[in-house]
Amino acid sequence: MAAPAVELLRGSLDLLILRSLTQRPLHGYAVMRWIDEATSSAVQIEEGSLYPALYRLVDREWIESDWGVSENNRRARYYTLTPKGRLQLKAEVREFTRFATAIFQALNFPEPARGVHA
Amino acid sequence: MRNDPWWRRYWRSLGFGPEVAAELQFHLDLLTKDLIAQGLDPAAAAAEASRRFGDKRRVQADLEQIERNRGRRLRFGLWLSELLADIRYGARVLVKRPGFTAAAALSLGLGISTTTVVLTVVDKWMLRPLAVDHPEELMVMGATTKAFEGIAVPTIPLPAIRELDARKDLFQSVGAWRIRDLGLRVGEGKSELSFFLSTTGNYFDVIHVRPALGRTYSDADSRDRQRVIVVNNSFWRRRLNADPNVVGSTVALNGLPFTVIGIAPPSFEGTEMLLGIDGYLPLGAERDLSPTPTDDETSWTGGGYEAIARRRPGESVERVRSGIDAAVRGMLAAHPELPGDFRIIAYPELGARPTISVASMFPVAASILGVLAALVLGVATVNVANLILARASTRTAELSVRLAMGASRARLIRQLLTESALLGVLGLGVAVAFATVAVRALNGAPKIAIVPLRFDMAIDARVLGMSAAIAILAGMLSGVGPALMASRGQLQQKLRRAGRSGVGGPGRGFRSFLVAAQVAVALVALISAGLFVQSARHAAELNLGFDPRLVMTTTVNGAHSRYTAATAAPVFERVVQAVRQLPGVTAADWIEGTPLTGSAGKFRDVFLGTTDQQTDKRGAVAGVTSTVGADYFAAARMHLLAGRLFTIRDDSTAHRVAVVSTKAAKDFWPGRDPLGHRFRLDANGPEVEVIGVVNDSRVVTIFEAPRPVIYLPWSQAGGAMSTLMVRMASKDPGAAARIREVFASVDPQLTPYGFGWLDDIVHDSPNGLMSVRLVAQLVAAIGLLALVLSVVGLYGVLSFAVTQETHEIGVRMALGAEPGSIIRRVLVRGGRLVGAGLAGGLLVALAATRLAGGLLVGVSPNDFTTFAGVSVALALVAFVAALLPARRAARLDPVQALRADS
Repeated sequence: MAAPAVELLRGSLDLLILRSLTQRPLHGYAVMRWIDEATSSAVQIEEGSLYPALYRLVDREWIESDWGVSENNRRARYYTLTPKGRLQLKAEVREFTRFATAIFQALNFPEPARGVHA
Repeated sequence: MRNDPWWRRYWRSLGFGPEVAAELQFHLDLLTKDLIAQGLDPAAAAAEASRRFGDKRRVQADLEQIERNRGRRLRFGLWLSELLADIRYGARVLVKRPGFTAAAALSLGLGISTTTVVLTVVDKWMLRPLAVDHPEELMVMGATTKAFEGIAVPTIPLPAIRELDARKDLFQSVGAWRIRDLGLRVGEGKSELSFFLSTTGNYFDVIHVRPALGRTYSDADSRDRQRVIVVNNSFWRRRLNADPNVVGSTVALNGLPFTVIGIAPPSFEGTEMLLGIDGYLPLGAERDLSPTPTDDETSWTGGGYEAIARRRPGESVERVRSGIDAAVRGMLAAHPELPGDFRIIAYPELGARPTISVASMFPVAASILGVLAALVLGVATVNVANLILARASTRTAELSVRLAMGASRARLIRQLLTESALLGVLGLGVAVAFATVAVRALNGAPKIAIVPLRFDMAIDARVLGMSAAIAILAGMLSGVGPALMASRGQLQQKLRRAGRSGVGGPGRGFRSFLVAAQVAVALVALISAGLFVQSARHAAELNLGFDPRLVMTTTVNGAHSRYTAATAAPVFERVVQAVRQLPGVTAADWIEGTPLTGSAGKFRDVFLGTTDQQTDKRGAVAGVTSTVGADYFAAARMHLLAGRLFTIRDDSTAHRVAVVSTKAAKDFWPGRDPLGHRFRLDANGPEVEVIGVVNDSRVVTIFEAPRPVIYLPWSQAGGAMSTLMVRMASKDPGAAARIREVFASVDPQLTPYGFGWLDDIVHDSPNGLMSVRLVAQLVAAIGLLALVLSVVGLYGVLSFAVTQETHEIGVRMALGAEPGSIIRRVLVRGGRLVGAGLAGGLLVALAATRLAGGLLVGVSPNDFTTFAGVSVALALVAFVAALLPARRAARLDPVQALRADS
């Protein structure tokens, strides 16, 4: 029923979550909404993947969680990027860019002429 | 929920479970709201949200799992870092006060070391079962009669053991064993003294020992008199070079070849606990080793065996015992030659160590030791608690600051307990050092010249673990009271109250009493030590009636080389004649047994043939016989007082003669010349004529009153086993080797053993000076222990008192009291404690040493010099211990002292 979803590459969910938190703390639902908006709904993530990913990132101390009050005055758990997480994000962006560039380069690689043997 | 594991319930109780659920619910609610905003009606929106979410419970469980693991890691990390911080902090505190730390560690260490030593002894002799299958089923048995006062001794006739073996309703099987001394020769080497267990064929089946190599023997081997042996692992390593191919080769026992068929595993060294044995041989083959074998298999009166039995699984000791009693009643009815009061007593194997004859006494001794050790540990712990208390009160400022800064009470208690546990660890270090020395001393204490003893106690890992636990526990125990008080801030209140009123807090009377009691115990122990040490010195200079200096001795058993008494005599005569030719030898001859080791002197009935004597109903008086060669008196430097000594003409064909001691002459023929009188040693035996009188000497034990000794000539009464006494002109270290060569030149098969200078042997023998020396050392050790404990105790109590009275001292100083008067005040308090202790101790010592009077040589039990000297010395040490807190009191700044209390 939803728009066609891109199969998420392993690890890129962590990357998106870290990126979503660069400006301000968000709760889980807001993280999901941010990813939806930022990728124009191209990337659809399930709650069953989102929350374990959040908890694992907390465990690695890249983000930390704290209870706060939501926009409509309800108790919500907010996630904040830690300095360690910010460094990790930088490294992962660099790595991902290198990887994506390499893939694009490969996709645009000119075919060799027939009959030429390597 | 109710069936959840405890940690989940615990986790929920911390609020984690609901948090995860709340977070997910929050997500669902927002999703539903957005769906409604997109136009769905509420019910459909909720359904759609829940569909999109998927299995919420599974997600929740996953998340909780992640949280739990994280929580556990965090808490452990926190706990560890706090512990490390506590240890670092505690170590710093201890290092800053080295005096306090040393005193506390020493006190705890001494307390712990006594328990470590007692644990080591108890573990070795009472707790460690044999390394065999189901050791709890094993029982050992000995026989007793009324004359033995119910003490079991290894004297069960073999047929009785066979009958018990047939009782399959009680036992799986019953075997028997006894110790056998043998001359053992490997290859072409020299024959050496060796101890074996001579056992019934089923011995290994009863015990369930599987050999490390080869096989064990069986009933069939014993019945067929197979000359086979199983040797212990230690013997195999020491004498057979751990050669795995040795099984099947032969060694010579008493000159006969025996095949080694098996090597025992290293974990099993036999059921004999005192003696180190080399191996095992079947009873059937052992009979070939004696020149005059007795038929133990059928005799109900002979045979001295200890039984080893494996009771049926599940059979109780009580049922087995009553079964044995019933069986013995049957034996008594069928065999009138058994004494009417004959009984067989069985103990569980673990309960009959080190030997069956002390089985009933050893547990009592061990419990007394245990209680004593616990008392020493308790006193040490209380002393350290006093020290900590005295010092904790000087730390109230530090503790209040930490409380004010938000440290929880629990945290503070933990910190203080960590500190005292650290003291325990230091104490453990001290204890291990002391205990190692003590155990080594205990292992080396009993030395019996010829017998290899199994005194191989060691502080093993289990005992060390126990000691460590005790150390940390004792350390924390000593700190728990002060820590609780300090954390509640009660310490200050308590100090204030006590200081103001000038009356000690609760427990002060008890603490004072304890210190006085410690001083008293130390005084008693030190006075006893002083007396025993002097006594030991006097005993070493005692006139024994013979001169043990410069006498080399060695013992030989002709039976080890297949000699009988008759065939041994000419060979032994050749040996002693050759020895007399050696350089430096001034006199040499044989004696049966070695004086003052228990082996010399036989208690015999003497029939004087007159009626005016105090005789038993058969007309005999009690005497002691000693069989000696003619030159023995010269070798021992004894003096002929009347008549003549033996000559070469007093041989086995001549009429029987004897030389008697002065005491024998006086007892047997009072007021008359004993020369020419005759007596018999058997009611129907040959008459013996007295030909000479020599001076009295100590024969059996060093402290005995003169005994009536009858010396019989070797040439008329000698046996196959005898000891050679060789008097030398000097203590020549090569003497033993040259005498050994003489034996070898006369017959290489002779096995002389136990070479030693007689004064050394007397020094080490239990019948000689060993007991005196051992008692002196033991009492001196206890005395030093008590001294250190009491000094630390006194120091702790006085320090505590000074801190308690800080305020009062401040007031006094503010009012113009001189430091001298403050010092005097503390010293007087200490003096009162020490004085009470000394007075009590002196009274106890007067009574106690009188009891020990019989053990003292050359020193009065109430020796004034010792009593006075020790008291003054103890008072001086106590004075120094009291001076330290007294000077601290005098150095108090009155302003601070007053402020400390406001």
